[in-house]
Formats: sequence, structure tokens, C-alpha cells
Amino acid sequence: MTRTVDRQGGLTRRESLRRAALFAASSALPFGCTIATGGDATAPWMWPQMPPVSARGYGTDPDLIHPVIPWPNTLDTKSRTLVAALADILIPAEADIPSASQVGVVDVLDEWISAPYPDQQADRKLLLAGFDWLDREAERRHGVLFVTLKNTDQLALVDDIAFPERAHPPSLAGAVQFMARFRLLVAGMFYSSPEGIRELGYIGNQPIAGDYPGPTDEALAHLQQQLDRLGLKA
Amino acid sequence: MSKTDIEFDAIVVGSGIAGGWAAKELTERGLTVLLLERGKNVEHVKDYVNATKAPWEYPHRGQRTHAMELDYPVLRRDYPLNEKNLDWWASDQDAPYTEIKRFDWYRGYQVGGRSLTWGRQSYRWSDYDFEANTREGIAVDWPIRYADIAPWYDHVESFAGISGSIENLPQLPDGKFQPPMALNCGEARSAERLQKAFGGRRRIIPGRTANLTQALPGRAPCQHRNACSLGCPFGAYFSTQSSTLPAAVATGKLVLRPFAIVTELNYDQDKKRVDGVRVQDAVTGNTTEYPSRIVFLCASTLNSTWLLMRSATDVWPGGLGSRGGALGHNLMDHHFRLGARGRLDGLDDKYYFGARPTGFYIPRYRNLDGDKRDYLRGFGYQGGAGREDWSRGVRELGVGPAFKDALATPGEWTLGATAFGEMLPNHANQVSIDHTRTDKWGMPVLAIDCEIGANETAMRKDMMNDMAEMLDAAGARDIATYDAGYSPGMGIHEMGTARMGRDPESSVLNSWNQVWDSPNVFVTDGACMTSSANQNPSLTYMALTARAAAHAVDELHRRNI
Repeated sequence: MTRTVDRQGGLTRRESLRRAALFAASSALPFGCTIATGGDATAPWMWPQMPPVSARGYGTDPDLIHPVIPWPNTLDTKSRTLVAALADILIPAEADIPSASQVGVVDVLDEWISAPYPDQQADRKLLLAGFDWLDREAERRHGVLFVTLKNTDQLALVDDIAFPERAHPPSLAGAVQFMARFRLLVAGMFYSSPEGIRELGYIGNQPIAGDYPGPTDEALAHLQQQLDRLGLKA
Repeated sequence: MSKTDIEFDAIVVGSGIAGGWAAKELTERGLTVLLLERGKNVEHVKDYVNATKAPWEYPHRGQRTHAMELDYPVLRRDYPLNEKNLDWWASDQDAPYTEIKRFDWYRGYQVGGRSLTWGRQSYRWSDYDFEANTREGIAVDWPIRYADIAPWYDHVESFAGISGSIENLPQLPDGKFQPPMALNCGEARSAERLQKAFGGRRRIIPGRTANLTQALPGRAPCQHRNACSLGCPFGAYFSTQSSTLPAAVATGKLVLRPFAIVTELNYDQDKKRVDGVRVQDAVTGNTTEYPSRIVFLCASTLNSTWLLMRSATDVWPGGLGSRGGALGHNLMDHHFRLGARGRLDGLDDKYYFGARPTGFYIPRYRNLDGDKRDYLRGFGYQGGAGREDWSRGVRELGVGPAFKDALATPGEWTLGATAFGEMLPNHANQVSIDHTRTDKWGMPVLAIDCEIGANETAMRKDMMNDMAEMLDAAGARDIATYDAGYSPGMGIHEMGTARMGRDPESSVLNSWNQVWDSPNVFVTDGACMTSSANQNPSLTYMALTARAAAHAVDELHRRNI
């Protein structure tokens, strides 16, 4: 068998295109139907072939305040660039709040899908397939990789898979499932970062004296009067 | 063995809710008191090491670990096993017990006992409860009525600080309350609708809780963090540490001795009195005898009974108080973990403030005022309404700023409640000493044999279905009932096994919580309960303890004990 995965365990670009062609050709045979080649057709969903991550885990009960991650990250540069672009479409920078990639979501996601545990390995399979699909679909639509698409084209593509409750052609089922999982992971990672917690306005375990009704109108009027007298703005 | 020369007027065994009250009342009435606690000391504020932590400041995010699950085969069965306050739950390994039938025994072996971790819901009992046994011919009659305990409820509520509303309900008497923690709008609207639908028979009222809404000396009002079980640096909920212990210490008449396991009460056959206690140091293993004029047993329901069973066995093989055959029998708890929840419409423009450490309460309405069911007694509900968090419906939120806005918008309003039902006293539900096993300190352990009966099983149908009916009346949709299953002990409301009564032939304690066969021994924790009612029991332990302490001092002055 020829090598079908690159060093990091992701599909090589050439291999994925080759398999896309194979899938299109072979899938027509057993079901006796033809693959549409225009109109609503999309790039086919393909599960990656990849060796299992064999790195050591951290055992039970790791200290999460002083974490030691014994397994290496596995995403290649190309995939990391794609994750950053897609994560920032999901959670862009706004005002003084950074984007998902700016708070380190790419590293966290890489660590997540590189972990030697069954749940994370299932995510790894789904996400790598999704990254691969995005590039092939971008290629099919516009002839370039996803990260080099114009922003409006990226958004149009993502919109097609970002609303799982809407009707989709069956060929998009895998991509829709991918996007839902990617969104859940990235949102969880962003909103558990210090910046994400700040944006949420999370209060948590802070003393609050009680149902605070705010200052009275009288007090506000008095404050305004004093500010005016001093020539200050409230 | 050594014997101390210092004689205390009173020894209090156990420093939890009952023991703290005994220490306070006895010292304030002029007695010198030795307060013995089997576990470590926990100093108010200083030892609340996790009180202000965020979840990410725990090595395991405050959750349970694999190692903890191995170490705590009992505690793991329910919520108490967690990283946040594990120090305040007794070790299943050090202190094992024998389960003839499954019984979840969650213990707090430290100064303050379970007053540090309790649920704080505080409800008076009424004569519906005190008269139920005799009216129905169940077990034995309580030797007291509401009028006997009412002034003591006043006394303990004023000091402990119970927030609650005046409701004029005969089955749930009002008390000396601080202002209630208000219902939120989802609860308040449901309360109005329930009022109309059931003509006032079923009603939602603010939970009555031992959390301050107004300052008391040395204690600040609640700061709405709902982190009580970590210890409160503001002293805003009632605990031994925040409330009774400082009062007792202030008298200058208290000696507190942690790591002191009382292993036996010393019974003097000639005087027909207990004249002191035997203490084993939990660290060194050394034993010491402490003499005293009176003893208050407040070691928690099952441990107080264990101690009676180990004492005066040369006179009564079953132990002190066993003469009538009631000692160890009629173990009770509250059965619960079932109810219903649903969604509320029309309030999506409203929210609530802070983290309230209580919810609402639906007082008992079954088998009252002409209502007649196919079971005896009744149940109440504890519940709350709130808005769902970001984890709901995250699938259909799109991307970008719209996605972030949708995540940051509170979810739908939901309202749910869990029923807490009365458990009938049953002679077959019992504890005994298992002489085949010992704990870390070489003491024989307890064997527990307890299960719910036909009355409780029948009641559970109403407990689940009534809540769905009330949600429907409140206009909720997507109503779902649940029954998460119940095993005795899970309520952490152990009661009985040394009950009060009117006759030494069928009870262990008289109407003042005195052991019939040694009237200078008072048992005022949950062991004394003659029935379980459906209300949370701790407030009643406080009142019974304060009442017994006053009587004890009077009797000492009269030289009757």
C-alpha cells in the first residue's frame, strides 16, 4: 500500500485529490447511479486513513494547574493555518476582544486532537476529514485552497455547513457534522480563555452585597449637579 | 488510661449543629463545658481555604478524580464526593460500616461537623407532625407538642438568622424571620398561577434558609455567591463556626478538644448516672477519662446511638437506653430525588441577579384538610427557576458576531422542583454494632439495615406526578418528570434510633431528651426523633437542644440530676 498520510498524520494534498477522484469513480458502481458533476454537487466527504496516535497519555487525575502534556502536537502548518482561518470566521476579533486564534485556540485544538484518548481520536478523524473537505470544496468552487479564498467566498462556503437544522443535500452531511463539532470545541476553548471569560462578563465566585437596585434618581441628580458645578462630564 | 482532675459541669459530644447549640446554651447558662470533637479543628474563615476560588483554581477543576472514587466507595455515590470540600467529609476507609442493605452514610468528622456543609433549609414542624403517630397508631407518640417547642424555635431562629416569609400556614408555622430572599420572576409568576389554580392549597413560597439577609453581630449578610459548602468568610450562613462556637467561647467557660473520640459513657451503677466519658485520642490512641455532671450526646444520629450501645453493657447488654427495646430501631431519612421540570414562556426580557443560596419551597398539602390519599403523611418540594446557559442549542447558531451574541444571550427559562417525603418509623429499620469489623481506631463499626416501605413507595407516585400537574398549572411547556432513584441515607437527614417517648418501655428518651435510665444524659441530635415529618430537620434539632439545655441547667440547680 502506498503512503497515504503525511508525517503528521494528515492527508497530503495530492493524496486527497487522488482519493476524491477514486471515490467519485468507484461509488457510482455498486449503487448504479451517477455522481452529479455540476449544479448542487459538492466535494465528496472522505474519511482520512491515519495511524492511531500512539503517544503516552497523562494517566489519571492530572494536575490541571500545572499541566504536563506528554504527547506531541500533530497538525502540520497547512492545517494550522486552516484552523486559524476557520476559527476566526467563527469567533472574529471585535473591538478590544481578540479573535479565537489570537487567544491560542489553534494550539489547544492541536493538543486536543493529538491526545491518545478515544474521544479525542474520534474528533481527530472528524476534524481532519473536515479540513480536507474544505480545501477540496474550495478547489471545486474556485480552484484554490480554502485559506486563499476571498473572505466573502469563505463565508459563503461556511454558511452552507454552519446551520445543522437547515435542509442540506445528503452530500453535505459529513461537513455539517464536522462544522458543528468544530464550533463546539472552538467556542469552549475561546470562552475558557481569560479573554473569553472577560467578554462573557463572567462574575462567578465574587461577593455581591445583595439585590442592588442602583443609585436613586435623587442621588443621580445630585451627582450630576456636582459634576456640572465642577465642569466635569459623567 | 489517665483520668483528668478537672471536672466539667457538662461534656458535649460532637460539635455539629446540635453540639454547637448545646455548648452555647450550657455555657451561657453558667456551666463549664468540655466540647469533644472526634475530628480535626476547622477555624472560622482561616480554614475556608477554597471559599473564594474559581473553578480553574482547583487542580481538578473542583471535580472528583479517579483516585477519589477509589478512596471513597460510599461518598462517590452522590454529590458529596468532589474536590472542593473533600476535607469536610469523613473517610470511608478510616471509618467503614456494614451495609446489610444499602445505606449511604455521609459524615462530617471535624469541628463544626455537617453544619459547615448543610443545605440550610430551615422549617418548623407543626402539630400535624407531632400528633401524626398517635392519630394514626404508628410507632409511639411524641412526648411534646408544638406549643412545647415553639418558644425554642423563636429562640434559635433569632440567633441563627433564618430568612423567610410570613405565610400563615398551619402545617408550616411562621417564625422569627429575617426578610426572605425574593422569588425571581419565573418563580413569582408561577406562584401566582399556582395560587389561582389550587385555591391556595398548593403554593410556592421563598425557601426559608439559614442565610442572613441582615447583619448579625460578627456576621455579614449573604453575598450571593451560593458557595456556602466551602465555608463562608462573611459568616453569612449558620454554622457552629460562624454562630454558636464564638458565643460559647465568649463566655470563657468552654474548652474545645478536637481529635477526641468518645468511645464510652461511664455509667455508675450505684448512682444510676453516667459520671463521665472515656475519650480516645484520634492521633495518639491514648485514652483519658473525663468526669462531668451531665453529658449531651450530639455526635450525629447514628454515632450517638453507637455510643449508647457501647455504654453500661454490664447492666443492659444492649447498652444504655436499651431497656425498652427501642434503641437502634426506627431509623428514618427523607426520601427524594424525584419531581418534574418544564420551560416557561414570556419572560425572555427578564433576568435575575447574583447566585441565591436557596430556591422556593412548596409546603406539604397532601393528607391535610380533607385531602386523603392511599398513603399516610406527605411531602414538600424544593425547587427553583432560572435561565439555561450557553450549552443549550449551540448547534443552530451560525458563525461570527451573530454566533457570539447568541451564545451570550441567556437561554430559556426553566422551572423544576424535587420532592422530599416523610418516611414512617419502622421497627425493622435498625442499626446494631458489628463486632466482626473495626475502624481505623480499633472500634467496632455500625451495621445498618434500612429500606423504604410500601407507604413511601406509594407516596413517590404523587411526589413525581403532582409536580408535573403544578407545572402545567403554572403554564409551563415541555414538562418532564424524573425519578433518579433513592437509597436510604441519601437525604443526609438520618433520624431516629434513640427516640423520645412517653414510656421507658417503648422509647429511649423522655420529653426533655433525657435517657430514661440516666437522666443526666441528654441526646438532642437526630437520634431523638420519634417521626421524620417531611421538613428538613436541623432547625428542630437546634430548638430541641436549646430546650434540653435550659432544662438540664434547671435540673442541676434543683439538684435533680
